[in-house]
Amino acid sequence: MNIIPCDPRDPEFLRRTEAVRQKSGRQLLDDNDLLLLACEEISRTFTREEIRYSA
Amino acid sequence: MNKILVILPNNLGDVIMALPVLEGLKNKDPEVHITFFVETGYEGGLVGTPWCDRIFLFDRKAIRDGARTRNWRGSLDALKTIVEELVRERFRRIINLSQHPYAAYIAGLLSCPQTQGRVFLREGNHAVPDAWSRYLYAIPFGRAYNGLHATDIYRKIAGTADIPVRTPLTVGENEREEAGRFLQSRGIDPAGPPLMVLQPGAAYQAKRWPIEHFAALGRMLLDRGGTIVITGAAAETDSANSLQSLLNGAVVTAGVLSFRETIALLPHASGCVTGDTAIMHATAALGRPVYALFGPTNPVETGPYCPGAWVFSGRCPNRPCFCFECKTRLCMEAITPGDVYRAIREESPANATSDVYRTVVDADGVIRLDPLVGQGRPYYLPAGAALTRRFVDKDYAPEAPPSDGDIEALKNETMIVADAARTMAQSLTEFESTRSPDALRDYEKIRANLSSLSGVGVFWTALLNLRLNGVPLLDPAKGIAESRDLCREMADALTSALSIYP
Repeated sequence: MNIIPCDPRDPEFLRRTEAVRQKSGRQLLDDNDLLLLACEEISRTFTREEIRYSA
Repeated sequence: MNKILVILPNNLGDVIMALPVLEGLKNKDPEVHITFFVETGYEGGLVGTPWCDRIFLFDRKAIRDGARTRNWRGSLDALKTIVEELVRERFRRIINLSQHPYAAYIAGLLSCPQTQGRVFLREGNHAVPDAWSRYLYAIPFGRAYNGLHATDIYRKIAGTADIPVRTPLTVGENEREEAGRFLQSRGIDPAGPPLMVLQPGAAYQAKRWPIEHFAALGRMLLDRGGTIVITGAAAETDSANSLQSLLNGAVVTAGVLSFRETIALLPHASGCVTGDTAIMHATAALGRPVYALFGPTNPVETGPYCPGAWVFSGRCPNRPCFCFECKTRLCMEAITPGDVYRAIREESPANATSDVYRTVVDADGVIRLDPLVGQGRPYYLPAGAALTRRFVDKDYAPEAPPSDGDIEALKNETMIVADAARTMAQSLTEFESTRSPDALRDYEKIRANLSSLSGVGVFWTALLNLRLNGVPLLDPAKGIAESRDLCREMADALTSALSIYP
């Protein structure tokens, strides 16, 4: 069966974000970490036509 | 220079609801420099206002769309440039009124000495440092226990609640004259018969009053010799044209005038009939008569913010449900054109088939809905709302002791949370001395059990969790001690709040 990925985001982007989340709570995050988290959060924001996001 | 950044990259209506905060900040300190961080496209309420020195446009959609592609690094760079520009401003204070998590990350990146609202800490957790912002965040967990309008909560967060709200939104003389010329060009004499603005569109289906109802009301107004302008955004042109086809002589501005040009019409109008829309907020902010038709949303929290506004609401047992789509649309359908027409004529609403309210300013300066006809499900429980407000504001004393509802239930559930918080503090104290994992397990178990509450305890639990979740745990011993103190503080504050009841 072919599975079509529904998340259009680049795997590298998601991998890096996940790496920051792993750091979270274990060491202080720097500006680049916070920027990445902010960018990932924005990538999931929605307009009313898009319903998959939940904050 | 005292520079303040207000963050609210939300829709037009939310931005207009925040204008009294800017007015208050400016009146408190005329030298203050205010930058408003707003999403591109929603700046219409800020353009031309004397209360905002700089509108900082944030193109969220461009960054979002880029971040969803293989060129995500471009979005990251764009965001970095924005943050660097904000850092260079060296704000002394950030007031983050947004509940978007990304706004908390941006607030965290600015490392400002004073921040109200949600902020993401470099230790890796979201914190809400100030009590009124935590109150704002707790509302969705227990709406029945809040009687405050969002604007009043914003004012309390910003520390401007003591500054009277006078002219949060203004229309310049040139804009007003231009609007007058526009009306004349469409055959309406601004100095002639009463002009009513009808706004049939709203952000989503469940918030829209049926076009047939608008048409019936419009015909009553036209029969009385009035004139009508049908407003709306470009996307609402179809519904505006549909309404116009049912109202001979009505003028459509949807898709013709910008938001700013549209609100410049309002000083020429005798009022505006609208759902829960940005035009409703603008009409209220201009102090013009507004007839607000409420369905799935909550007029207590986001109704027209001005005294004397009319609010109508159908008696749907599920209100406020916050649904985008509704099969029955009972709440909106049940507001009859006759109910609104009688309000416009200042006639008694005694026979209204919907609930009818008027907004009043309380002695302590907050807006409240005064029910003229209120037979439907109440939007909140005054006795519970007084208790939650007293919890945050130690000086708050209601004009009359709360007597409605089940006060014993409110007391009992408040004491359950207070006792739980005390026991949680004891468990943490025990852990500090014994290092026993059982003590930590007890703490977590009590905390988890709070989720079984269903009354005002839900509100208290949300507040407690907001505080505990904001405690950094990079230094575990410090985190444990801070959590222990927070639990004690919470228990004491809850017990103290109960003094509101005789």
